[in-house]
Amino acid sequence: MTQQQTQGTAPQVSDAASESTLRQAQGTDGSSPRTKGGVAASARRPLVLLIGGIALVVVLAILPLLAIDIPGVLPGPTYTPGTLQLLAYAMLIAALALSYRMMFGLAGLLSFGHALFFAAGAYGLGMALEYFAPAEWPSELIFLGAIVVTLVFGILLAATVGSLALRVTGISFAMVTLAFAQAGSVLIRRNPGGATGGEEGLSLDITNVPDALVGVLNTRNLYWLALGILVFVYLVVLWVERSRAGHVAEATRENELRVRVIGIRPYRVKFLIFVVASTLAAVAGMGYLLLQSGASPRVATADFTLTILVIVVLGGVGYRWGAVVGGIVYTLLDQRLTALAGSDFIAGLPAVLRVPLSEPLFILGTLFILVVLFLPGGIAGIPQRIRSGRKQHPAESAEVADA
Amino acid sequence: MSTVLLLVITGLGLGALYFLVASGLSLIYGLMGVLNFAHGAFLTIAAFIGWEVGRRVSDGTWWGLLVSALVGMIVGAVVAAATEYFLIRRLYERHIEQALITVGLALASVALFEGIWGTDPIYTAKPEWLTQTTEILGARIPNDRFLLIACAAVVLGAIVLFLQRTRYGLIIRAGVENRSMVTALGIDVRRSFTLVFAIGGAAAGLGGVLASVYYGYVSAHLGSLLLIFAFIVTVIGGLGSLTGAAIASVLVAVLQQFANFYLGGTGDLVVVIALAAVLLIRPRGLMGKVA
Amino acid sequence: MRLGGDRIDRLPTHRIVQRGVGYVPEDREVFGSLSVGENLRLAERDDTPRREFIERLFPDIHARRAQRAGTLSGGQQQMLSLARALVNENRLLLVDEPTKGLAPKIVDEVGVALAEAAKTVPILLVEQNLHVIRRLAERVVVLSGGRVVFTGSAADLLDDEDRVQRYLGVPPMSP
Repeated sequence: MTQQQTQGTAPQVSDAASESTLRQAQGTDGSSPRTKGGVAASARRPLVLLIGGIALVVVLAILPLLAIDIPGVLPGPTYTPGTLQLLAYAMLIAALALSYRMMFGLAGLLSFGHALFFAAGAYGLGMALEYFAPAEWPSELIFLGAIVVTLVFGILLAATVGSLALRVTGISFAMVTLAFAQAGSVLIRRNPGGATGGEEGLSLDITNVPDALVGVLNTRNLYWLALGILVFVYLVVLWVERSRAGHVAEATRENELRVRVIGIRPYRVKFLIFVVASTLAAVAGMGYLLLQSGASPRVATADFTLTILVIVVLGGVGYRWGAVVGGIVYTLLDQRLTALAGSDFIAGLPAVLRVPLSEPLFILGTLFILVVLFLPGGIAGIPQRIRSGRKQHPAESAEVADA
Repeated sequence: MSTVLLLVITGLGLGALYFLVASGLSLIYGLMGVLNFAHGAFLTIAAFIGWEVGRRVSDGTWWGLLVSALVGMIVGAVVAAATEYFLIRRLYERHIEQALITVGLALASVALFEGIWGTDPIYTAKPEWLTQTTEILGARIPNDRFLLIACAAVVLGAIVLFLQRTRYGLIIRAGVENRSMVTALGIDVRRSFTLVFAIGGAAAGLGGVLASVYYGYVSAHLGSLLLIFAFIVTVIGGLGSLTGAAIASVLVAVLQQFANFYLGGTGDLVVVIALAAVLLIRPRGLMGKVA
Repeated sequence: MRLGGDRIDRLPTHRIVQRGVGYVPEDREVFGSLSVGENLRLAERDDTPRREFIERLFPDIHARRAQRAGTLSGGQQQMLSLARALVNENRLLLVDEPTKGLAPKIVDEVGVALAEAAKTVPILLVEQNLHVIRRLAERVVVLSGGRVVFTGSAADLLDDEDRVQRYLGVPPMSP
């Protein structure tokens, strides 16, 4: 039954996710719509993807040891702290985007409050490190303990918000998540008891943070931490999406009524996806705190969630790696456009061009509009469009049912 | 007693502002299913251009303010209609993409405004009377609130008259309820789409100019500030219901004022909790249509 | 697909309707928040709406002009939906299951109204109620599984017990 559903929606499922259906289909049928090149070709694909993925991770891991310089994109060669910081931040944003894509692209849950969980991870760990310090414990244990505490907090928060928000669907769901995120944002800004640092943000209390993660010289280690988080998030997302729960979530996105009629309860699956995605966001948030040595209230705003939404759509809602690409491209663009905006080239242009071009968000916003209008599959959807020449959005039925 | 009166009237004033922004949001969503995140941008550009023109004609006077308001409404209407015609219309029936486009537009326009007018708030001059207060039953009420309330009431009345008495108003009312049946009667709803955007834009434009009076400045972020509250008000009132938006505007703003005063500045928080509560108890809002 | 010799299948819905097609949808779909009069006014397409004709044919609806359409009974809503389609001089009327969910007495009334309407405009009626079909229809088309399985006069179908059993799956009815 799962096979039929996913086969029926094959054009809308990411290439990697349809591998499982192909392999299953070969056992019974041998001829599915995709196996034009025969059984051998499609059996090779998962292996190719796996090797490719591992190779990519290895390359990323050894980057800090190399001196690759991409002027115009990177602020310096890849072993410099500045570049590593930027890349690490990009990977954390990519991880965040991945988690959001799972919620929105897979399960069709349009949340306007995802930033809340990212902030919960960042601020949670920050506050835990400051206040949770039993004197008798060794430093490393306190650090780990703080992480665990934050993780539990994140899960509980996600469960609470999820259980309330999922009682409604569609726009109402989006609005409830927005409400919670706003509440969180307001709470952070109000700085109760001086805990969150208010407008100035929270700075990292490094007393119990391992030395290896502190200081500019150790940016390499933070880079590897960020890479580790990205890989971890990717694996968890992959596991969930390939699991039965993931397929049910996809089916629910397409047609909730049909899923219910079969006897499956969509709520459970949606809840699971919501909690997992939110917790992953919190994990990324924790990495962010360590990387930036602090947390800014900006990451709790609705604007930030909308930015993530922009990233996911830019990258391509229908594909996992689209979210990764989107996150990295966005971060690099944001950084470089700011630098570009201050460059001599732009300064020399007539005012009509100079003013808009010196605002990176303007370029980003315009780019985004163009992508939505003319390239609905996002960046990741480009190969698909070239291949099939279709004009339709690959995840067209990610349409959320109105309340 | 005088405190309560002050809170109520200042709440009404704030609610008037919310309503001016929310009215457009509500109609646009009700008729077209579009969540217009760019509504704040309409407001901001109208406020900026209205201010630029007004201060050049006659700064700080009633005449200047009137000019600002008229210019603001026209700018709001034109920009909104253009947005619908060039961007929204291309994505007919694809509501998620339409909402996304408005997000991109909001992002780009705030950046553009910052580029043109800078990131700092620009303080505006206003007629003398608006800076003063009037005493009613012991409460000293800032006069600008009266202006806000009056304008919102006029706008509400005008839109209601339009909806009830004109053919396009009839089409819009029917379309909010059942768009496909309107089409099945041989009516091209798309023209009403542009019209609804224009009306919403004009109201938002007026709201923008009045916001610059209320807050005393214009800035690139003026719209985003108000937009979140406008959304909350729209949802609580019921997406698609104009009267719902009006009632919700008053309730939310007054609640906010009271919470700020009696509960130590927690107005924002209380409003958000109210939203969550309404959505969980009655998801379609006070007067929204049942899906 | 052609209407009056012109191709219409590529046209948007409202254009097709503007060429003279009236539509009475399944489930009536009157605008509940509008008044009865407003429902009718909305439907008026050209400069010469047939107001007296509607008044004559639907006196009850005419009397309830100011009433909110959402407060009408099912049968009254059906009448309104039908009246709405008759406001203009159409070339064709599409009527989809008008008797669905209505009490037998109301079904009769709807049938009478339809018969009157049929005197002024050709009607393409989709129905499952055989009595109504027998009373109103001249020619019938039977669809089964998306394919046409019978065309002919109503009498040819309904008087032939064999055909009734085979195409409609019901025991033959008494006339």
